[in-house]
Amino acid sequence: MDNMDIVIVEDNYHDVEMILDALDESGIKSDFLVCRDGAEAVRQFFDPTGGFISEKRRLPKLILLDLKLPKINGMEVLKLLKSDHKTKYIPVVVFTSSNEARDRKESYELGVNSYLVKPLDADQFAVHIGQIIDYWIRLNVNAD
Amino acid sequence: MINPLPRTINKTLLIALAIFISASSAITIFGFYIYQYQKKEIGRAASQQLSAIAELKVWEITTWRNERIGDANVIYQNDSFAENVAEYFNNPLSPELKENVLSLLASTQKSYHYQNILLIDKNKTVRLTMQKYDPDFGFRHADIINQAFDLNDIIVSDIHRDERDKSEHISVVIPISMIKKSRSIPIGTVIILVDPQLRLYPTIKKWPMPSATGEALLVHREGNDVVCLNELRHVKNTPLILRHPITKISLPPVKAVLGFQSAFEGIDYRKKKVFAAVKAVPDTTWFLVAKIDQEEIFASLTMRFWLIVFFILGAISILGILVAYVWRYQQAKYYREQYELEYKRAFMYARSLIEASLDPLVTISTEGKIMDVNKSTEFITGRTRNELIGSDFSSYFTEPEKAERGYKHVFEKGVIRDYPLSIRNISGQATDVLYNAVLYKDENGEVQGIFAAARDVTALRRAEKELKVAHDELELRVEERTDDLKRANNALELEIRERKEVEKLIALRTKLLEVTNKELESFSYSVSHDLRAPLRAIDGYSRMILRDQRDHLNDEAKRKFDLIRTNTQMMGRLIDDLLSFSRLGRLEINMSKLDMEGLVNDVWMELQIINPDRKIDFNIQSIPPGQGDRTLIKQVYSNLLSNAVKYTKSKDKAYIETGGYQERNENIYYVKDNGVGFDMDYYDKLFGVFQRLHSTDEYEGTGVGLAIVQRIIHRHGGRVWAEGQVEEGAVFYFTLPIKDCLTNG
Repeated sequence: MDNMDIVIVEDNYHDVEMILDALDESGIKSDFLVCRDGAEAVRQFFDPTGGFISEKRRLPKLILLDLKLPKINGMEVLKLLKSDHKTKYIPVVVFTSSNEARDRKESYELGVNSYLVKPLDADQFAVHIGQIIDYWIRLNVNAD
Repeated sequence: MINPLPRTINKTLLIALAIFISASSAITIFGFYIYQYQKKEIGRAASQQLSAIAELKVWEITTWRNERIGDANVIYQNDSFAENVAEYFNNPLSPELKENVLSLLASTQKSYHYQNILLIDKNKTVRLTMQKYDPDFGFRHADIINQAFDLNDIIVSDIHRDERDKSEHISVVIPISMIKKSRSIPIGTVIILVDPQLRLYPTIKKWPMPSATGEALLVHREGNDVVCLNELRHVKNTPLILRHPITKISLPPVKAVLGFQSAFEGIDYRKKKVFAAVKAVPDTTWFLVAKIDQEEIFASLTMRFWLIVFFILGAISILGILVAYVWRYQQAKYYREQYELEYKRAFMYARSLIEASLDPLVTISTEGKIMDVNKSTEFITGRTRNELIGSDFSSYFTEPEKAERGYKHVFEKGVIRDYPLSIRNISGQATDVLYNAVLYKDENGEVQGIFAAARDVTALRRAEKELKVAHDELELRVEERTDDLKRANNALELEIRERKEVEKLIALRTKLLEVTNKELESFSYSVSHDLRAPLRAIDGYSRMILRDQRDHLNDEAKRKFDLIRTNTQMMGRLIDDLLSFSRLGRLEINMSKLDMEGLVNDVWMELQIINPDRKIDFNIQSIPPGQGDRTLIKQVYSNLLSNAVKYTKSKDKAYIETGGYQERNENIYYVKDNGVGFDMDYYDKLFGVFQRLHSTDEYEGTGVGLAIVQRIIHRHGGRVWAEGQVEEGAVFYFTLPIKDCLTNG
């Protein structure tokens, strides 16, 4: 479990805190980046002033993406991520409060790797995060 | 349509042609043969003639020759002459002796005009002559003299030419000798010179019959030439001059000397075709050739030839004409037959048409008499054909003068159209008709009569009457109705206007509703989302505190935090229920045939998973299939069954039963339990939203489940109701209407 980068795109501060708390609870030690809106996320990945390009950071191992984001919404970000040849292999897990079938469908069509609904129950919430980490980070082997 | 000549006729023609050709050929060949025969005959006759002529000529020549020899013999056989000659020679000066000799010679000369008679002695010297002589004469004739003495006979020489005077003569050489002591002693020779021109040539030349080209030649062979000895008809200066090489076999003279006998054909020195006959002159080297041009012989043939040709042509022409006539006759016969057939056919066709017509047809003569009728006319007048023909046309009408005017009009103007008349039947009944008539003329344009057709219009007339009545009545009715209609129309217009207004309102309302719905949808969605977020935070932080500050919290704090968490959960559920309840109003139903038993099983399995510890006696009776939205009906069962599960938790032996049955035109489904039941007094609160008949700490729930069930069933057009008894259990019923048309799904 070396430095594995996780990007969290979430606008709700409390949700961010809960995610980070859950990550900590799961025992993951990694660098993470929090983007508070869609524009920030896009800038990070695709803008020359963004960290991944300007600082030549290696790409993250996982992106947790909320759909309800200000400025540029999550679906847009997902679309951009999955259409760029550099970023499309990064696992994206949509972690959203929307249980709408159309959101789910659209996300899968855009190539999302997982679509999870944020549970109301905090225990469930932590469990979800733990499962995400287990699957996409601990057990996943990257193509490169 | 006349058929083209059939094959048989053509074949006949071919046969006729063949016969004609072969007959013509036969005639031609026959004519040819006749011609050939004729030619041969003529040729043969000519040859015969020529042979005869040749014979004659030869006889004449021989006779002439014999005469000469006879004359010579007189001298030759005169012994005293020989003595006289001898004496003379001994005494040439004696005039008596000379006279003795001369007298015999002179008498010989007298008998025939000999050219000369010469007495020649042994030394070939000429001693006495009758005419002038050539001193060398004796020497020149030495050979022949010797020859004569050798033979001891008279020799007649061939025709030879005298070089001095270029004249021809024949020498008759008479050896004079004395017999002494049976020895013959030559004394001298007497030579008689004969001029062939005198008698010989003319004899030869003379043609016994009139002929243009006939001539005779006397020829003999000299070495490789054939020499002509006499004067010829067509060429001058021929004797002994005209000669031909013996190789020219086509020349009759050549043929002659080569030994050809009798008559033959040849080509003479003029390059003309000739007939020739040849005879050798006996005792000479001469040959007599009598020839005549074929042209002359065949002159008559030419005429005959043309006659034959004429005859042939004539015969062929006649034959040809005959054949042509026969053929034309056949052709004409055939065409005539064809024509008659066609005519008959056309006639039959026309007659059939006339008879078939239902309209009475007549032809009327210029005097107004009927000339011809068809069956319909007989029928309509009630009379027979025989009665009708010849009678007055106008006599069969109720108005005869009108009828007469009618047909007279046609004779004037040529045609009449729809002329109304009434035909009177023999029974008295009259039939209204319309007459259409035209003039008809023959091929010269002469008017033959009128052709008239009647059209029965009784039915028409009646129909017209009825129509008028109906029409009048109709007009009346129409007026009445029009008024009614006008009134109704006005009312309708009013109503339409009102309706349109209402429609506009409805459209507006619908639009409003749609907008409202959309707004509601997004509103409830975002509200639920926004409501959940803080709840999540509250629950989350509470959990964090409970977890991290476990050691610093007393039990009461822990309890209160747990309560915080419990309540947030409940709120979450409330929000979900509210959201789905509000959705029900807007959701579309996808009707399909439902396997209710299957649905129930699915729901029950899910419930078992959620409540693994509950032991429930679950019974599925037969459930008839129904029609409805699968998701929604599943929700109905889910809510009803989970309620049943919930409200039987206090019972040791929990029993839940579900089933259905058909009653009239609806299916009734039920869910029955032996749970805590409910008080029927509060029945109207049962299906209300957020209306609960039990407290939350007894049975959790938001009180929206049954409201949802009711809403769903109502949307399907069904009914919900329930029966319950406190502590005894409850039964919940719902119906789904049965419709005939279904989509498979």
